Amino acid sequence: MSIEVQMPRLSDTMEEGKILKWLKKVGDKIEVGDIIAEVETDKADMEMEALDAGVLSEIRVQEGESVAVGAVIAVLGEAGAGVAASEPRKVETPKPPVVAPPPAAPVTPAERVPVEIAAAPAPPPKVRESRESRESRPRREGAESVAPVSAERVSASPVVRQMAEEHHIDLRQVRGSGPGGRIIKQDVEVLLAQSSPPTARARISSATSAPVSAPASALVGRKETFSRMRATIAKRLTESMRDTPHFYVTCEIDMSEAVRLRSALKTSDRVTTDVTYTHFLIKSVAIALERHPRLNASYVEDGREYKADINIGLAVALNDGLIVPVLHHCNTLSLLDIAAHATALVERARAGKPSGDDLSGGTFTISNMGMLPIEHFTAIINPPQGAILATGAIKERAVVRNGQLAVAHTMMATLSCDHRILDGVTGGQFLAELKTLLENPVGLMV
Amino acid sequence: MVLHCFDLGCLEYPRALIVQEDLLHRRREGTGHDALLLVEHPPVFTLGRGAEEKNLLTPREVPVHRVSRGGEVTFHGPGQLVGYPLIDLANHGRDVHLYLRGLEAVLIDVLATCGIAARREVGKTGVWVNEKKIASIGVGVRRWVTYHGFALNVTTDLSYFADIVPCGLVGVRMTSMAELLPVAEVVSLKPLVAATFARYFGYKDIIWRTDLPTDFQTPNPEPRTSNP
Repeated sequence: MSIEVQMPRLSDTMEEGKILKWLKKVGDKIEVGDIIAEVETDKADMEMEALDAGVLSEIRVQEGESVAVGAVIAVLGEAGAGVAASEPRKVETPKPPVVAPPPAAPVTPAERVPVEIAAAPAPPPKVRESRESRESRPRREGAESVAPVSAERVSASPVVRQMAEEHHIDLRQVRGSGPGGRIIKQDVEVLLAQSSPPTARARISSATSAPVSAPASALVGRKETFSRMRATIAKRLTESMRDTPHFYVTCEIDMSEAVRLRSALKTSDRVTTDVTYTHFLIKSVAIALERHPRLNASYVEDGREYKADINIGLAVALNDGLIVPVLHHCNTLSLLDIAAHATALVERARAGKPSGDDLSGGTFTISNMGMLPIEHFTAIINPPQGAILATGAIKERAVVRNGQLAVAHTMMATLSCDHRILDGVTGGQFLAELKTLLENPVGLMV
Repeated sequence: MVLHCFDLGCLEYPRALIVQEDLLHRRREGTGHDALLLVEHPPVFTLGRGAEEKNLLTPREVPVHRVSRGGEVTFHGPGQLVGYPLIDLANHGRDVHLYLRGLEAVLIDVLATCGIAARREVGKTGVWVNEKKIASIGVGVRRWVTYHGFALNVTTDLSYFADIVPCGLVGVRMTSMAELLPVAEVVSLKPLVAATFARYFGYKDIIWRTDLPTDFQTPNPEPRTSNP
């Protein structure tokens, strides 16, 4: 069985990391806690420790290369187990013949970050060289069809097996919390801590600086210090909710024509840019803002400040965070310009490489949750802006047309407005304009 | 939490590295404390793991060390206040970016106290004043314990930076507190830096220590991994 080693998340705001140096090479035996590589993010250089034991069978990311957090950077193979045992031991849970990329079970990043575990150096297990592991793998896979699945088959590393042997633990009774139910060292340590007298427990907990968590559960009570981004979100949105009197207007927009237009654009040879509903939204919001400038304004002391430009922010979700890259001068851009610029803008922001004024100067924000099965939602105004549009998923709904029941692709749009500068009617008129524009989307093309 | 501050005076780079390695080892073994080393180095160029030799332009008769911190080439020399925090990030959110931003915040706060308006540049770790860099940051993390740290130019001879491309950023110009203030000196800044660091990272007390183990005094340029 092979174990995938992933790029660890060293920060909430870390998107990718660079392998600076591999300290192990293919064929090297790896013990839990061994430093296998140095990883760089920003100006920090982190030594990365092995979470599992095995033999480094493949390096997928070379020195100097950067990959996203969670990407597989190396693969550990089994180092062979039970060499000196008098009776033959079954080694592995049969793995599906295809080496699946990420584990199917959802795993929280924290569980998979190898650096979380700072294990004390374990006594070296008696293992044979890597050659055996390579030879044994196809044999095991081949045996899958013949051998019935037995309860004796347990997935665990040699270190774990040795620990189990030393402490007379039946590994068949242990529930593994590693990938694919694999029993990792922590599982055995937890078991030992639970069944040991206090002195032994203290010894174990001092050997691991990571909090000892219950197996197969990510529920660990802890306090997490906010990232700067999270702290900013908390502060600004609290201020917004406290200082801005919000009101909301919602309407249903028939997107059937937009759906048709989008598929027509998709099949067109002359349009190479992928035009999404978000781009339709940006274009129609830009036109509607031009016609209803009160929505493109801010509350200031004793007045309303109209903005000279229409700069539309797009709420983009990050891991435990949110950024709002801003598309500037939307009123001067064609739909295809918007498609090209917005895609690049969002990519830059997601990659943590915003340029120039990518994150500033917004006059209005769109928050689209169309990728999730959300009917509608309300958004909090992003100060000092005066309004924000929240859109749900486009889906087939029953509508009534001319007294007849029909099926149409519709979307719910909810506008949050600052009541100090906007009234219900103003917000409603803007939304009505938006509805007309999106329901006749050919107008967005000219 | 208590922060142990060590004022190492002027110490050669390799020897300061040994002190760091030793404290790092003790911290990991559970026998040490969170510490902040404050030091000045004789002139030295250091290259981070990601550094390219080409960023060292015309090396003078100055030693060069490649070290296990993030970042590119930098220069250390007299008049520069170098800080090496050895703290366990397990108590600070296990977030290396947050830590880097924290170091920037500490230095910006220190400079503000001295009357210099410094700021961050998004995507360029360090502390900046009017498009010039006044402090460099590059850290290493081993089992969530930090080492390496920051270098604040107080009265640094900035001409050394002309020999390198600091932090791999072409065209970056360096500045120092002496360029911006009538009076600046490393010695008087140390308590301020330590106090600001302690406040920002939530240490209630600072213990100033001069009781470095005697083996630090013996010249031993070989980095040591174990603590005798």
